[in-house]
Amino acid sequence: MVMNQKLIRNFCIIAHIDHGKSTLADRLLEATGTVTERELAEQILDSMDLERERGITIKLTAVRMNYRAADGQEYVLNLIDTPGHVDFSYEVSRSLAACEGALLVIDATQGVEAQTLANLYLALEHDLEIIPVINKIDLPSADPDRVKREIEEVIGLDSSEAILASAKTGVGIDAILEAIVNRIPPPKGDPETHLQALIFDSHYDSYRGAVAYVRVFNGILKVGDPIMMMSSGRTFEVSELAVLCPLMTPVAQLLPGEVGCVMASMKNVKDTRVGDTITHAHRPAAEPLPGYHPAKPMVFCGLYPVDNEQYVELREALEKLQLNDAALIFEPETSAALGFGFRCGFLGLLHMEIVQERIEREFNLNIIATAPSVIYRISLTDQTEIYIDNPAAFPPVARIAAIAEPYVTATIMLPEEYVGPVMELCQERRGEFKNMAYITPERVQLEYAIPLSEILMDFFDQLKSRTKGYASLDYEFSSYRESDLVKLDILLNGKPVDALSCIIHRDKAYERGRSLARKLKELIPRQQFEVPIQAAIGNKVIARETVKALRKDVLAKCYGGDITRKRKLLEKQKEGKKRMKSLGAVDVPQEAFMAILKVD
Amino acid sequence: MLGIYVHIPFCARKCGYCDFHSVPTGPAVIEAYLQALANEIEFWSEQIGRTACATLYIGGGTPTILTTRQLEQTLTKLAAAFNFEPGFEFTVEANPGTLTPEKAKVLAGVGVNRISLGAQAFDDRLLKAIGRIHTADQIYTSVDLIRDAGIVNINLDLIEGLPGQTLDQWQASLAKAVELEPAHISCYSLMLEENTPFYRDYQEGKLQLPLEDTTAAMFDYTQAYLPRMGYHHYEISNYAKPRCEARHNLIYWRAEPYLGLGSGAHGCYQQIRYSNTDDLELYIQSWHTCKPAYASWDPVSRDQAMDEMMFLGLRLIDGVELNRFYQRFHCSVHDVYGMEIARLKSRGLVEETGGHLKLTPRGRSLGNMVFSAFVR
Repeated sequence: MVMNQKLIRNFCIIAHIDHGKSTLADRLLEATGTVTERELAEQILDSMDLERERGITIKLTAVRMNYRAADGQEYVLNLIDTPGHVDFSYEVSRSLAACEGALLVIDATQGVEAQTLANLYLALEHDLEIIPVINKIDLPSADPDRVKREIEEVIGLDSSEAILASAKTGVGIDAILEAIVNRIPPPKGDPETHLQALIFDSHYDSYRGAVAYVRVFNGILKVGDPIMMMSSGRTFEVSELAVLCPLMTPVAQLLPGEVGCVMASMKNVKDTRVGDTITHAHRPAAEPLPGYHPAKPMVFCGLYPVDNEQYVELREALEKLQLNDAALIFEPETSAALGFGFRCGFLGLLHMEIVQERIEREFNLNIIATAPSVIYRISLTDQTEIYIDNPAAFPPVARIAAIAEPYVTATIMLPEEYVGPVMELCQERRGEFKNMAYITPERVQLEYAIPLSEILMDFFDQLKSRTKGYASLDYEFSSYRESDLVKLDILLNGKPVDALSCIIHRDKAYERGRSLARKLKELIPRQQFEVPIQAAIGNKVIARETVKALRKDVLAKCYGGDITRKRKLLEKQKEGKKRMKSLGAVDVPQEAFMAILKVD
Repeated sequence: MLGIYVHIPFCARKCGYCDFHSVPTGPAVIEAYLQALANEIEFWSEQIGRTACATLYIGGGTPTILTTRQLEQTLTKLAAAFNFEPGFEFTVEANPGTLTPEKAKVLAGVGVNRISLGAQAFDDRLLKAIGRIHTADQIYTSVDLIRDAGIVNINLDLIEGLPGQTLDQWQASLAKAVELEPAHISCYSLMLEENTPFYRDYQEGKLQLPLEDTTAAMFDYTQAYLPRMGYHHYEISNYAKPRCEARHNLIYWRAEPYLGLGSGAHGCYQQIRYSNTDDLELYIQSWHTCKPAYASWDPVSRDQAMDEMMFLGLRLIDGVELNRFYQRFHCSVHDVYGMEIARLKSRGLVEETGGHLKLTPRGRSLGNMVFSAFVR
């Protein structure tokens, strides 16, 4: 089949969490007859449980729809899904790069949010045609006029072009489909020149290996072609090509402008890096498509099995997740407190939480995560520089000339009445005020330069709780800045507990040290001897608590000759002791670490 | 030498802390129960034949809730069914408030020579709070009528660490107990057992218990006070005048055999540990047709037997006689528990003197740390 390029439309949907992206996608699939209503019992695009529960899309896919437009022509519409969270902004940018247009979905009851705006800016950078859709107009609290004002003032688009819709009731769906056909330009691209196909997503399939989702820009991709990944130079042979409608339907070739997936006996998603360009191995393009960079972890933490015997299972779980997640990295790590585990790197906080939850849920493993850390840049007195993501690697203070930490630019959109509390929060988190703009009289956009480490510490939850859930946050890495950072150690019986060390701003070390020591005191059961708990910076103790010695622990009851019961009680006690980690001759229950690590 | 325990699972009212098998019930069920028990007595009588028995202990529940006639019949039957050695210890548990002069006389008449009285405390407010049916005054009355009936060997049970109990109150209780000059005083710590009202109340934060420091102080005080008053400390929770130790309980702590009769009773005989069903109806039905109704029946392995000899024996102030261990198992304690013992010694929890391994005074307070080391 030779596809007429003029009849292809590639688009994506930009929306804030809960603004109705998935429902809208479902409606489009239904209206074009791609799937029936019954098949839509589950929302198609969000396939993972976790995604559905959190109402976000983590992995993106592409769906092909056939649509007979009012002009009588049959169009191919490729909907390319985008993840809705800041951690995945690079992935979003690659998806956008595969499109010529975007539906900008805004909740008629909520208005424009920070992430929507961030993704919109990305879309504008890629010169996409934007079609604003004001969704949920069926709700009584809908205020489309206010949203229209926001579209004009914040986004600078002509609000008369916005489509009023309700993905729930189906209002406006036809108008949206017509707008896609009429307003989004068809893809350009030359079938006669060298092959350039952009990988905008990939996933691991246990039968086929890594599957790359691509948008062909130039040249023709055919089954049997030898192909080359331009970032690595690795070559493969295309075994299968398919389009998703929404199930995989084999095709013989993909032409410029087309979207589909490529299977080529690739063993790992590392071979199908998002943003990479596929070209022909024998007739390679001179240049890759612009914009590729490998996923770079920004947030690190240690993951340990609660049951030490599950170390191997944890490694297998991480390996399996990595097959599908090129951004996840890990390496073995040992902790005196937690045993054998892994140091893991993530794109951001959400990415980290998702990986942790998937390990617990899909692999049924109990894990402990140490406090998340960023990458610190430490200038040493010998004029060299090191980067560390683990407090354990913190050099002796005498060798440190300066420490720098990553700062992000945080954009927060919120109702005007919460500006005070949010500015306070940003101040507490060492934020530096950059800008404040009124989007409308009721809504404000705040911009702060803030250390990433502060965002990791419960910032988002705090933001939500101080604004009753009305604020939205977006952030992107800006630069490294020097800060007065120290390593805070927690000592039990005079011995540092590695799992509880952290790198922290000096001004905050005291409060954190005190609170950690206090919490530990509550969590460590009394021992035979008194146990001092200290928080220290270097040799300087900044907080101290004491677990008093256990005075009495004895079964003092006869149980009428029921020895079995006595034995069971003693076995339980012995079992309990086994589950404790012995640190500096102190028995610390595993739960204590979990409780401590969960706080903040 | 064999001990015999008989369980009477009835109470006028269940106390908030108690998870022993006991139910409030009517006279018909009690009568049917005693019938069933009579059959079990006969069964065991045939099983063990002329085996010498050293002790008979009637516990509960509240054995003294039985009528005078029931007590007389059942106890007479028991005393005749087994080959008790002369002067054997014959104990009945009694609760103040259920004992009458008639009952006391009947008990003495059938050969009961020791009464264990559940006094628990000498403070009416505390007694009420824990669900006891008696007052402090009734403890005095009971002691008098037991003595009037001619039974001189009396034990008073006391509980330390009751809700709201202060160290002062505990000291006062002890002093009052000592004033009564019983032969034996047991001081048990209150333990929260699952499936008791106390446990539930505690979980819900409705029950205030003394802090560990307070109960530790109570324990320390008792250990210092009672010996000064002539009661020697021979087991973690037990104190006795010379030669008045509870022989029946010593059987448990020395890991010697005993039979348990009655619903919910536990026994250990010929290396088998068993317990009777605590389903009263099932017990009655089974024994009415002379069939045992066990809830558990487990051979004790050699390793288990060793463990038990250690963690039970260490409750005694004199500890475990190392020679007895050797005679029983043909290996030394150190061959089996060498590492554990060395570790416990280095932590100052046990000591070895005069051929005995025993708890140090510190070890007594932290007994569980020691006992659990001997559980394999």
